[in-house]
Amino acid sequence: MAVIELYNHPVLLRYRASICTKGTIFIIIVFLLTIIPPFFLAYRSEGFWIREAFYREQPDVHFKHQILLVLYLNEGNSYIAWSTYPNFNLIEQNHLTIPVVKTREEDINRDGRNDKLYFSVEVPIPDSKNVQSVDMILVFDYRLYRFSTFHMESLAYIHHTSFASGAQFIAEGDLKLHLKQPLAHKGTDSRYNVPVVDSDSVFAADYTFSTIFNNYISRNATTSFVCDYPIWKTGRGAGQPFVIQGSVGYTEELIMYVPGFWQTIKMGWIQYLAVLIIFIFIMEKVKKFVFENQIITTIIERPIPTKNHVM
Amino acid sequence: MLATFNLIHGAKYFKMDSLLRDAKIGRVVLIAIFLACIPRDIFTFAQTTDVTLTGGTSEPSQSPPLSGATTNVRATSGAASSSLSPTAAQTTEATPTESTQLEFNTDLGPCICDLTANGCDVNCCCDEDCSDDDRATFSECLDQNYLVDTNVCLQSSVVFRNNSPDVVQVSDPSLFCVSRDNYVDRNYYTIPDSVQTAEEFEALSTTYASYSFEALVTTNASYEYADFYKSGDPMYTIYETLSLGVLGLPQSSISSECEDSNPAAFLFDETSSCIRTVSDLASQCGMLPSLSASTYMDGFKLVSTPKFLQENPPPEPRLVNVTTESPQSTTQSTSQVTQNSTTSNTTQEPNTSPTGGTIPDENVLYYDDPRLISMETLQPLCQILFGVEAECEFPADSVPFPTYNETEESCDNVVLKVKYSITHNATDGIMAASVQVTLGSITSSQLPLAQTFEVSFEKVDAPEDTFRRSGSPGYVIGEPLLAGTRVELEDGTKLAISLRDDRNNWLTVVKSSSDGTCLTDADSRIPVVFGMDMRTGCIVEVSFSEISDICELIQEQILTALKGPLPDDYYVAMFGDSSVEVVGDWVQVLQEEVSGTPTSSVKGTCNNMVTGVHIEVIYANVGSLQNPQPKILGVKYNYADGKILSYQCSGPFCQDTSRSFTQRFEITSSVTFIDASTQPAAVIAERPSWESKLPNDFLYPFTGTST
Repeated sequence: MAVIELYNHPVLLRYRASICTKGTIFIIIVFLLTIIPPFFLAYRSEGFWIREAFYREQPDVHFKHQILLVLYLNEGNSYIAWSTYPNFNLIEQNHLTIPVVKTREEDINRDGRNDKLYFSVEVPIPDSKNVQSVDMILVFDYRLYRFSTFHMESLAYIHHTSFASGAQFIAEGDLKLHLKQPLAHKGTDSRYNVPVVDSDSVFAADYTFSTIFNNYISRNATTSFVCDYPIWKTGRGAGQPFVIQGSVGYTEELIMYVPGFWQTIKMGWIQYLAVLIIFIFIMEKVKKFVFENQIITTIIERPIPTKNHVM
Repeated sequence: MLATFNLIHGAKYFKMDSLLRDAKIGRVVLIAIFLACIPRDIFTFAQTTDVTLTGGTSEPSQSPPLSGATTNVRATSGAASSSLSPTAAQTTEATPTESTQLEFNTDLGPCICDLTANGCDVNCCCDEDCSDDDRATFSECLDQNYLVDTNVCLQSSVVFRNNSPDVVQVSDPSLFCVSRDNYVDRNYYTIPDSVQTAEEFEALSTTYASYSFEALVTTNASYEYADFYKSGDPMYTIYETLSLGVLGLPQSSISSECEDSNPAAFLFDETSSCIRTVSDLASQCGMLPSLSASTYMDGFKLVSTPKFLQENPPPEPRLVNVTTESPQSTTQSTSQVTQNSTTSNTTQEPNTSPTGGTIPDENVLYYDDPRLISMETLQPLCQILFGVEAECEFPADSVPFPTYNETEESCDNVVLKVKYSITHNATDGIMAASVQVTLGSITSSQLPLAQTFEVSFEKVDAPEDTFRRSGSPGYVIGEPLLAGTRVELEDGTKLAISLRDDRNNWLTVVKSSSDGTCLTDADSRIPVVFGMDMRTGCIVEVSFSEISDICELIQEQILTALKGPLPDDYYVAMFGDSSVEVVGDWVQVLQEEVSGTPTSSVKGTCNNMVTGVHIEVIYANVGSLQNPQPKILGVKYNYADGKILSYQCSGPFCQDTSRSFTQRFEITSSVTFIDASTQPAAVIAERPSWESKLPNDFLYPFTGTST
């Protein structure tokens, strides 16, 4: 008559020893070897503590309606300058020409954040003069919310130089964020919410492009106007203004930030655990081998008396 | 076998026989295994990094230490070299009708750098015409232009050339590289048959061809005429020469220069401005057709509907002698004309009416067809001053050509503006067309000449009182704000809004001239358009001597520039289509009183001067969230706080001799649109009660709701 297995259960063997024996020391060493090497292994294979992470966010940008404009003309060193800063206009009153500026910010997808700035600057220019170069600064208010509340004043530098006398300059581009260091994961960061152009100054040096850019570029977070397709149209008719027009897109940005404590711990723990399981498995085999074969002598405590044991 | 090769990394060039002498003992064992494994005709192989190049080349007599890792050692196996050039032998022996039979699975180019027949090619080590002395002068060997298969451990194609130089580069074989390839066909192209028929060619071409520079087939099927014009279609014209064209609307494209071949689009009102370059006004004044009015109005007719061309294909362009041909010989004349048609097109001969013939010419009949609409010439306008136009003295049917005025050095009767007005009746096409030109005199200082072209369309039975709205109902971005004064109607019982005819003159801001001064006349102002934030301004010049005396006068001048012709009770429409008769739909422009009056306490200063106005327009979106309609809630003129205009002396301008120097003060005028839309408040429904089909106390320990 065939015998079938009806039920099974493991038998728990207990190996006992007093504290100051080789067995106890062995178990302590094995325990330490189980938990410590996985940490080193996980750490040495790089990327254990995540130092930076990325997220995407569309910035909340508002054009501050501040413009600084310089047009270089073909006659000698003559130029035309204009800005929305009264002190600068007073300094440059001999070169001042007041343009017609039209701007419009549009929230195309109506999600509450502006998506694009359209601008058009028409500069009346005498027929005898011709424009060879455009330098223009637009000032923006730039905010990010998702991790740290980041707030700064930034600029877009729109410029073009051509050998041919221009009638129109068309620049369609995007405002791009440049981070030299990651942002924090929480808190408020308004380190750079300082004016790009010091409009209170009465000194000409504070309005030069070199001063403005020198101060601006020393920041860790800046924006720039990226326009890969500038168009310079030639042939300005008599009595017609020089026109600068285009758009500045506020696109979604990939932003680098320093992850917070719990995010770092969580990622580290996952990596540690993955290696630890392998070590536990190996060390269990080692312990079983050592104790089963009584390489280190211990007292074996069997759960069931031998006499009752039925084979 | 060769898989052991994988263990060697960072290979260097090395020569075998010298290696055996110099390499370490451990290496020699490894190499011995190699030598047992690799075929006989391998001369070279790769070696580890710790054996340097110079260490390996210790016998200069047999293998000179060349930095380019080439030697002049050649294979002496004649069998292998002859097997490498069977195709060449066949090619020379083949008769012209037979083609070369290519061998399967054979490398056909054993020496691809051997380009000079019967001569030695420089740096071509495998060239059999080169002597050993020639090879000694070579700085490198060019004959190994193989694509290196990085999957293979040992590049056999390089190694098994028995007349190749005795070096090989093994580029760091990876762990899983192919050591032995037992499927040889994989490494050789199949040999396709040459194409004999056009069908075969087509089949191959369609299977394998990709994009090319073949000229694109444009979908502009101008030779197929539709039944009627659709909006956006170009309108056909027939010239007196009976050549076919389209009504042009010159437009600027790459530069601001006019492109005359740009067609006007049916039913689309358009205005374009572009420039004409005139290099020498005196000589070109009467010569350039682009300056002459007749270019834009005479010598062509509009085709009322393309169906006309469908039914009556235009006859061949007529020549002068065609009129004498008899109708019976039409086919013959057509063929003659076809030969000469190119010349007739280019000569641009004026209308050649049949002078001698009594038989009416069918081409003249064609041109006189009533379905060809001739341009009605309206009374031309003449520009008297810049921006001021009046009707010219000469009649409409004799518009003069441009002529050069020697005394004033100007070119008179130059076209400044062309305005086409076309009356249509939907699918019936064009019913009438008229053109009005604006002429003027230009001097050489006004070059390049800017011309404006305008085309407008009107339905044939359109009511007189059509009015272009600024929105329906909400304002459209870029459209001017409707604004006017409130008047009492004639019967005195009802109020209404009076709008100016010129829609660009409703609500305006100041504009600067090219020298910066304020343009004060009403026509030179810039309209406030919906949605556009604006900033304009101009410059007021005052001199030191007069500044403190005429403060009030300056202030008045500034306010005139800022306000323009703005009456005190000015009304702005809430919607882009607000009716002028419903006064309740219009909001009054709020105007701040200009605070204080200008005073002068110190010489050279004016206190309390208002130098700017800021117009705020508050609007809100109404209607559906998907289709928001902006509605203007209010408009306010904010005058800037009184400033001190002081004549600032700095630099050389304060010297007594330059007392007359004027200082320039900027006057600003700005517009901002404020969106005051309130988002719809979300009303959240009450949370639904949980209707349980189970007994109430079924989950008693968790819910705690027992009966």
